[in-house]
Amino acid sequence: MSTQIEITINGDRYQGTVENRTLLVDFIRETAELTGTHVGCASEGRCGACTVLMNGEAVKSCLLLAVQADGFEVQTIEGLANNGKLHPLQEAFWENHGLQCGYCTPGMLMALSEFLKNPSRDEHEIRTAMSGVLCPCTGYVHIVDSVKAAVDKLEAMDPHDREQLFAPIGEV
Amino acid sequence: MYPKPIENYFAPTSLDDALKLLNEYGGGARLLSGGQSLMPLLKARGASAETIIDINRIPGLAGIEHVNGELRLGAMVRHAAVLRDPLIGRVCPLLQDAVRSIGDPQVRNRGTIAGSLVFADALSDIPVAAVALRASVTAVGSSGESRIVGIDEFFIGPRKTTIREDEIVREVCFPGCIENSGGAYIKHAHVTNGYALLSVGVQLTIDDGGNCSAAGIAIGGLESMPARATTAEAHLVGSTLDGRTVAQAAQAAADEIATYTDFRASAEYRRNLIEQYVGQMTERARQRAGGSS
Repeated sequence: MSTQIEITINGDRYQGTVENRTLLVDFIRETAELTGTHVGCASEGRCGACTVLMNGEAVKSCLLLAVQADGFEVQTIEGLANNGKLHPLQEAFWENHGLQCGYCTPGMLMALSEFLKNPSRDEHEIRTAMSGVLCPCTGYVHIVDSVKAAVDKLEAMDPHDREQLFAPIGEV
Repeated sequence: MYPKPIENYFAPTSLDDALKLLNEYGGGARLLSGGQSLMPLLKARGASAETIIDINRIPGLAGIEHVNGELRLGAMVRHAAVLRDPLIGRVCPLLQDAVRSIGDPQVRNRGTIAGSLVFADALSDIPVAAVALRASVTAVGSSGESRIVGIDEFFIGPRKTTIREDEIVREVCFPGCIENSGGAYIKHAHVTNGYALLSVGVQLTIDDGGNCSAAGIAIGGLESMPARATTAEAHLVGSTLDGRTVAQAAQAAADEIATYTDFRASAEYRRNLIEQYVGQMTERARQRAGGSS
């Protein structure tokens, strides 16, 4: 009925004995006490507010069992800034009003942080990249503007610094 | 919403171990691959699992091979891997079209081609692609023996396939991915849930003389599993795929496939979509197969 697991989240290791049916999102929020990852629709995996990176890929943490992530590296919104300095994507959202209520923002940022590994200013590609996160407030226009601004920021960065943004946590 | 309690969770690291577990825990066990359909179903309490056998940690199941014009995908090949693969873009564009229509990037990062087939949702994309491409599925039984199931013998109905409870799908094969072949897929999706009101996949092979030598046409978004439009296919085979023939085939597909009315669309609307889409996808498939005229 229960299984002992260890998941590395934002470079820190978290151990726990969880019921097999425990969802990854609840391990993140309740065992690791990282409540930046949000629960929106809670039932169908449609809203994307719970999106995190697992071994570098965006996944909906409400559609995975915590036991599935045993031994894996997870990155949440709390791990996006580095030493108190916002990620270029976070800066761009701030400067371009890429959010209103902010509830979907952690999921939106994590989904888009994967997109920025192969960035594009193409509106269709940006909208496809964010199609797994629903934002009931903004109408998405300012989010698209924010992503374009983030691409500009990335291109203006020193290539070495840019690479480090996407290096596995712990190896930076 | 939360799944009912899951008594046992196993993550075997070999196919043999997974088969043994499946044999031991029998009917109460569910195989977990991508989980992007199974987890929502378990959470909505549409199904329960006493035992979960997670096949994600079995090495060697995520291979993509192209041998003698046949595209072979291991059971754990995820949608995102299909979309990223330039070889598949070249030899099987229909499959990439279908994958692009699935869910969203997060779902495509986890979901698998084989899992979509075995889940056998009548309104999803991969079953339509598999029927158009004349796919086959390799299943391994608890005795270790494997068998190949052609797509026409695969689906029994929505959520039902001929894969037995003690079997695991190891590979999905798409034949006909040869030079001078090409395909295309389109879905008219419901705005909020992404499921097909109607979808069409067309796969064509064109011979050196510019004639169509093989055609696969599949229609999804029906009351049951995707159907093959065989009369329409027969119109195309042997033709030069000229505009008139394609129009006749599109009309034939609309005539031979039974549509239905529900709250999302009328039978007549779906019939019109079949005619439009079969015409459009045949033209796109023809271009991709390198046909002229």
